[in-house]
Amino acid sequence: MKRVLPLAVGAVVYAALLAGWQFGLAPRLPEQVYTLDAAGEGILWSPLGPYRASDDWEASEVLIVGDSRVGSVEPGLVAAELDRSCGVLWSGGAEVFELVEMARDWGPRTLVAAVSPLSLLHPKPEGLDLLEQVPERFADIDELREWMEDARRHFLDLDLEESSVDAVLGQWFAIERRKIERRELSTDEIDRRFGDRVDAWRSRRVRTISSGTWRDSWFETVDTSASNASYRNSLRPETRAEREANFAALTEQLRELVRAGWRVVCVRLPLAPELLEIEEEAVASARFERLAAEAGVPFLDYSRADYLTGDGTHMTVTSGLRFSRELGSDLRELEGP
Amino acid sequence: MSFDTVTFWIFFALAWTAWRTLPFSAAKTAVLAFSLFFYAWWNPWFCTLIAASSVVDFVVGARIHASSDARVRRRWLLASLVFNLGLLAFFKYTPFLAQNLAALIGGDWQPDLSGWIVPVGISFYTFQTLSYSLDIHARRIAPAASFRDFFLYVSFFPQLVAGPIVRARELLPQFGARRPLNARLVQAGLYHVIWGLFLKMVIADNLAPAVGRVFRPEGIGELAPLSVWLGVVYFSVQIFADFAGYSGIAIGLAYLMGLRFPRNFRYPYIAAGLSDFWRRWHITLSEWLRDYLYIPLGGNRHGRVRTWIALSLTMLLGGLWHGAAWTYVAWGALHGAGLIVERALIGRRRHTAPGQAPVGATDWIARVSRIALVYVFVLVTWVFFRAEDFGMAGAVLARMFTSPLAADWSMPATNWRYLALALPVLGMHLAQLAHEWFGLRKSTLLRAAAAAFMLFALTVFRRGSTVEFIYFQF
Repeated sequence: MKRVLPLAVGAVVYAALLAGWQFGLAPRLPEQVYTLDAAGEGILWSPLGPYRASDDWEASEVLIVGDSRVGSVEPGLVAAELDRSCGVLWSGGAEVFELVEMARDWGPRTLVAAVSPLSLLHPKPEGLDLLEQVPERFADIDELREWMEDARRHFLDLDLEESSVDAVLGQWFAIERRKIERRELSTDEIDRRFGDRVDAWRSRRVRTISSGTWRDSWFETVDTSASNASYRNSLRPETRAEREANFAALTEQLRELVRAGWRVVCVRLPLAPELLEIEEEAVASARFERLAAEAGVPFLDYSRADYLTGDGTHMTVTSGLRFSRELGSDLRELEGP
Repeated sequence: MSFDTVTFWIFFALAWTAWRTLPFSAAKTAVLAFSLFFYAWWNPWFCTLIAASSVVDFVVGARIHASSDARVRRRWLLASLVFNLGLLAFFKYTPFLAQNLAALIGGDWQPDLSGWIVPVGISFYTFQTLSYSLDIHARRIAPAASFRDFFLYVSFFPQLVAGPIVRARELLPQFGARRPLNARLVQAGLYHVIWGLFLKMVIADNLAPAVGRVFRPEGIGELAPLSVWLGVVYFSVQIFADFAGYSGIAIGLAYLMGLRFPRNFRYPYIAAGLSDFWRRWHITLSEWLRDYLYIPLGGNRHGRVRTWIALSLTMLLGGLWHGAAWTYVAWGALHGAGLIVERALIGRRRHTAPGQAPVGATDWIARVSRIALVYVFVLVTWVFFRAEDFGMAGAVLARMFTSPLAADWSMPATNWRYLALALPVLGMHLAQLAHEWFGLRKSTLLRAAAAAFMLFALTVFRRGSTVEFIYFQF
């Protein structure tokens, strides 16, 4: 009894704390801000860059494509609502017609295209061709770092905005580093297989917190002013003509898919009101409705829906999960009985 | 393979099963293989170094023990010193020496040693092998029964990478027979593991971004002085949580295997003096330096000046042991100077005896003031430990000591909310203080409740980015 008592006390205290947190305190606190990366490690390489995809995206009956905002969508929950397999394919800063073009080769299915002014035209730094010359294999982290520094210098010499250069290169670096670490017998692969799954399981069931990601309250507050300015710059009036041309190209692409037997749905994902305002200045919401009408596909607009984002455009984990269920349910309704 | 990864715990489950189930001799061989595998995970070539160090000291130990001629014994000991310190100097200090040489010579020559890799844990295991030869020379211990046992002692995975620095006389006898595992050992092991993981994954990792905001050249000018103090306080908590956390896990793993490691931390921020601080911070290193450096240098046996010289040298080398940079030397030098001043002012008497409660308001004020004074001194020295160079350290100190009247209080502040992460560490220190001053016993049930709280925190706190244990670099 004496030996078991500490264990019993520990278990009771743990259960009480967790219950108190989960059902008492946490619901009264602001929603956590970190975002859920729903994609697995399926990396699809194209000349334009690395794309993230859920593990089973090639076999899925419903494929959701778009820029990094799609990373907040949990395909498993969409699939559960639809009762059909669902995958995601996305990339940071991707333009949606690139993804539609890529998706076209994989046979008739349901395509959900996430559209936004930025996913119609995301001005990328000139000199992107340098990225096409990435060595197929870096010998080690040092070689990768060296290459990254060269590439960064090259971009900055072209007078490109430092933050967007770092964003583009940072994405490459993370993926390449992971590949190298795996090759070097790092724990990364095993940690991912076991740890990430446990972590994802925990995040879905327990309200978790972390420093740096607690909205407007604990540890950090999110200052969106810098990203707002950068966002406004990406949607500057000079890009309007090119974006309009892309609208026309996307319309034609979607029409072709429909003709080929695809079921296509356009969606606009939720975003923060201040960023929606910036988007509205660049492209009126009605333009997306017109795009869908001209392509002959349904349009689901969630841009004003009540979901929380961490940085203005990427949904938090809780919102992402809630949204995934709503999207699945709406898609089911569209499909009819 | 770090203690805070899933991979390690899969590895540990396998190693533990081998240790507890195989016949003891086979278990030792298996755990030696597991330890080498653990080390090879960083870089297989590192194993050749640890093997070479072990072979040299095993042979040297046997030769020293076998000889009765003092000169021969000294010669073999010298061979061990030259080999181990040479190994450490070459791998750890070559880039540092080359950079200083280039600065001395001047001109265009700049050594390109950017790809230089310091083998993980080399500072720890060379000190262990050295202590083995030194102890045999001093006839404090007999040589290991077999090379396998000695190699296992040097490479034993729980303490291989970042300590505690376990002496041969503490661990080798435990390899003589397998100790039965009882409920108390398992409880102690689990408690230490949970305590260590909590300190590392909840406290240290989550404080890292707040500390990083202070110690960066482009950020320091934007912070108000109070924020810089706050950032340094955060670092004091982070470094304690990081290193004590690692040691705690290592000690817990040893308990779970039926072994005992020495204690490495005793809540250092309640130290009432600097010498007391060093009896609480990285205890196994302090004791190593005391036994193998300070005392051979004369210790306190040859008058005041010789004591001061011995203290200064010990702390300077202790600083350099932590890292190949002048900032670490400065950190050691400041502690050395502080110890000398303390010794000159109050001598060698212990500040408080365990269980001795303060008597009266004056005693309370005196004791609390001493703790506060030591903490502030340690805080200031941490600036040198954390800063990448003297420029950064100078900038941080300049902000810290800006007059409150001259400060621009409208400047953005480091988030005070991170103090919430310091509260559990403060609570641990206060509990220890209550134990030491008032003799309050550490209740098993309270420890169980504390472990439950720490498990709860591990459940609800997500890890942002994983931060490597700070002491891995040493």
